[in-house]
Amino acid sequence: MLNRRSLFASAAALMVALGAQAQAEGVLRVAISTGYPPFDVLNADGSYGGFDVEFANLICERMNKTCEFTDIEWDGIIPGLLANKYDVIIASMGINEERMKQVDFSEPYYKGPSALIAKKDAGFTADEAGTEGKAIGVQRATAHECYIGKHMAKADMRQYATSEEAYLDLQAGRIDAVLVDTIPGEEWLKSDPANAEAFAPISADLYDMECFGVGQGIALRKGEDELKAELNAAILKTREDGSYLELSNRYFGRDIYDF
Amino acid sequence: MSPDPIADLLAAITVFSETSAPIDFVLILSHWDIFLRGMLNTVALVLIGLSFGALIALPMAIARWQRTPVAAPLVGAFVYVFRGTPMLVQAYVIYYGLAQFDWVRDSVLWVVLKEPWWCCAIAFAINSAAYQVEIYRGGLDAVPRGEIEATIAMGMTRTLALRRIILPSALRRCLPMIGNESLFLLHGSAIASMLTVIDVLGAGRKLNAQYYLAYEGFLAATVIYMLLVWVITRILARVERITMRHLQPIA
Amino acid sequence: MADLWEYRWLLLQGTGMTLLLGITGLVLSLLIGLAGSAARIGGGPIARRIAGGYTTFVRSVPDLCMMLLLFFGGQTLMNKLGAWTGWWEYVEVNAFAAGVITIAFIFGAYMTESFRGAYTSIPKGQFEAAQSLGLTRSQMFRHVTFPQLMGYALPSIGVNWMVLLKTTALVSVLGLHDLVFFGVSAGRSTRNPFAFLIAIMVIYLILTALSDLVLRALERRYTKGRMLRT
Repeated sequence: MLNRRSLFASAAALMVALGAQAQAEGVLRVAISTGYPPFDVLNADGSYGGFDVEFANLICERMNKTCEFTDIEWDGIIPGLLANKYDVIIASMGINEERMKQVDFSEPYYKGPSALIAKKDAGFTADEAGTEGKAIGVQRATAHECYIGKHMAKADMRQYATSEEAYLDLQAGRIDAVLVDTIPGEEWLKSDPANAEAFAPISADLYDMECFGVGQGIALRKGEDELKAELNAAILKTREDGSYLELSNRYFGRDIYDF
Repeated sequence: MSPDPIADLLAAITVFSETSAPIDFVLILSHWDIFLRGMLNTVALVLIGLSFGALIALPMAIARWQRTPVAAPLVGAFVYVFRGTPMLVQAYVIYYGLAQFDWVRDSVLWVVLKEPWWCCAIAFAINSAAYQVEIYRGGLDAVPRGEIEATIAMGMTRTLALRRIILPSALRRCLPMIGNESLFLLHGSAIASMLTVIDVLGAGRKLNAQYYLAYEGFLAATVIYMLLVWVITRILARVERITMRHLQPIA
Repeated sequence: MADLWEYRWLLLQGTGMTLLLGITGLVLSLLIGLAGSAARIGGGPIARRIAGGYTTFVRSVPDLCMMLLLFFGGQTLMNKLGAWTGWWEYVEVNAFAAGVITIAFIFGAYMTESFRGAYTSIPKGQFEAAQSLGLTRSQMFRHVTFPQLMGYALPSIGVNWMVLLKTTALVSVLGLHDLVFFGVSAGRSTRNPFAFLIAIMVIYLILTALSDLVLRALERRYTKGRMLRT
C-alpha cells in the first residue's frame, strides 16, 4: 500500500522535527527549577527570576556567553543533565557524595545549612526520638531526604515536587514540619507576617557533611574539566568585581558566599 | 575452590548489575519493599475508588434513568464536570484547593482530608463515579421493556422491581464496561504520587530520587503495572464467565 | 478573582500550549492509528502480532508512568543508540516531544481500534463497486475507503479526543508549561490554589464544549452521503 509507507515517513519526519534542536554557539544551557523562592522563581509574566537566575546571568556574562534557561522538575534535573538536555545546573544544588557519583561540581557559590521549620509550639526536637511518627515534608531528590534517612529515620517523610508545596501543607497542618535549606526557609518565614508568627526553625542549623556537603555548586557532567575551570574562574570574577556581593546584598542583606 | 560459591555468584551478579548491565536490576530488587508497599497502596486505592464510586454512582444512575426531576439534571452536570476535566486537577482541588480554607481545616472533614491517602481515595471515587453513572445508566436503558412490564404485571413495587429484577439484569450487562473502568482507574491512579502517596509509580520516583537515576524506577513501575493489569484482566474474564453463564450456548 | 486577572496571560498561554499539545498529539495518533489498523487488517502475521502487542502494552501501563519513562529514559536510550550506531550525535527529547510522543503512542493504539472497527462497518459492496469501476488501490483509498472510514470512525475518534485532551494535563508533571502547570504554580505563588484549580477546570470544560461543536459539524459532513442514501 502506497499510503502506508508515506504515512510512516511523514510521522517519522514530524517526530524528528519535534525533537531536534540545534545547539547554538556562545550559549550556556542552564537548568533551573522554579518553585524555590527566592532562588528560582517563575514570575507572573512567565519570565524567570531569583538569586540563582541572576547569578547564572553573571556567570554567563563573564564567560562571554548568554544563558538559555530550562525550567525542569527538581527530581528530573540530574537525569536531564546526564542526558545532555543542558550544560549546567545552577539551582542551589548541594555538593554531596551521592550526587558526586553522578555529576561533577564547580566550587561552591554559596553556603547554607538546613533547618527544621515547624509550628512555634510544636514541642518536639529535631532528632530521631523527637521526630518519631512526625510527618516531615521535603522536596523530592534533595539532600534533606538523606538527612532524614540518617538522623530522623522514624519520621514519616513526605516527598513533594517543590518546597512550595511542602510549605502549603505545613500551613494547612497536614505535616508537622518541613526540612529545608535555612536561607530560603528564612525567606519564606519573612515573606508573610502570618508565617513568621506561627512558624519558626525548631532546631539549630543542621549540618551533615555526607548529606549536605560543602555548599551549593554548579553541577556539570563528569569529564568536562575545561567547562569546570571556566565556571570556577567566572565565579571568582563575580567575587572580585563585586557583582556577587551586590546581588547577595540585594537579596539577603548580607554575603551568603560563606557561612 | 571458593568456600561459598553462591556468595561469589551473587557478588558477581551485583558487580555485573552495577557496572555492565544497562539497568541496575540488583538495586531495584534490593528495594523490593518500597515497590511492594507501592503495589499495596495502588491496589487498595483502586479498589476503594471503584467501590465507593459504585456506591455514589448507583443512586445517581437510577435518578438519571428514571428522569427524576431536579436530581437527573444535577447528576448530568456532575457527570459533565467530572468527565470533562482531568483527574489530576480534581485531585489537586481536593488536596491543595480545599486545604487553603480555614473552615475546611476546622471541620470534621479535615480528619479525612488531612491524609493524602484519603484525598486520593476521594478523588478516585468521585472521578470513577462520574464514569460509572453513565455505565449503569446504559445498563438500565438496555433492560428489555418486557422485563420491566413483567414486574408491573406481577404487581411488584418499583423498589422491589429494581432490587430483584431490573438492577441485577442491568448490572450483569455492565460488567464488561466496569472491567474497562477498573483498568482506566488503575491508569489514572498513577497520579497518587503527585499527592505524596507512595504508590507503584511513587515507589519508582522515590528510588530514582534517592540515587539520582533517570529511569530505573520507572521501568520497574512499568513492569509492575503490566503485571497488575494482567492479573486484573484474568480475574475479570473469570468473573464474566461465571455471571454470563446463563447466556452461553449449551454445549 | 484579582489573582486570576493578574495571571490571565499566563493562563491563556498555558491554554495555547495545552491545545497545541493536544492537536499535535491528535494528528500523530491518527497517523499511527491508520498505520496500525492497516497492519491489523491487511498486514502479514508478524505485522498483526506487533500491532496486537502494541495495543496490549498501551492498555497495561499508565500514561503518566509511560511519559516519565520516555522523558527520562527515552533520551538516554536515544543517545546511547546514537552513539552505538553512529547515526546521530544527540537527540533532544524535550518535555513537549516526550509529551506528544507519549500521547500519540497511547492514543495511536485507541485510534487503531477506532479505525479497525470503522473499516469493518464499510459495506463490502463498496469495495467491489470500486474494483469493478477499475479504480487503482490508491484511488480507492482516497475516494472510497477514507471518506467512509472517517464517517464511521468519527464518533469514536471524538471520544478519544476528549480523553486525549485531558491526558495533556499530565505533561505538566514533566515541567512543560501547559495550562495545569501555570495554574498550579500561580496557585502556589498567590497561595490561592483553589481559585486557579477551579479556573483550570472551567477552561477544560470550555474546550470540551467547543470540541463537541466541531465534532458535530464534522460528523454531519462525513455522514452526509449515508443520510442521503437511506
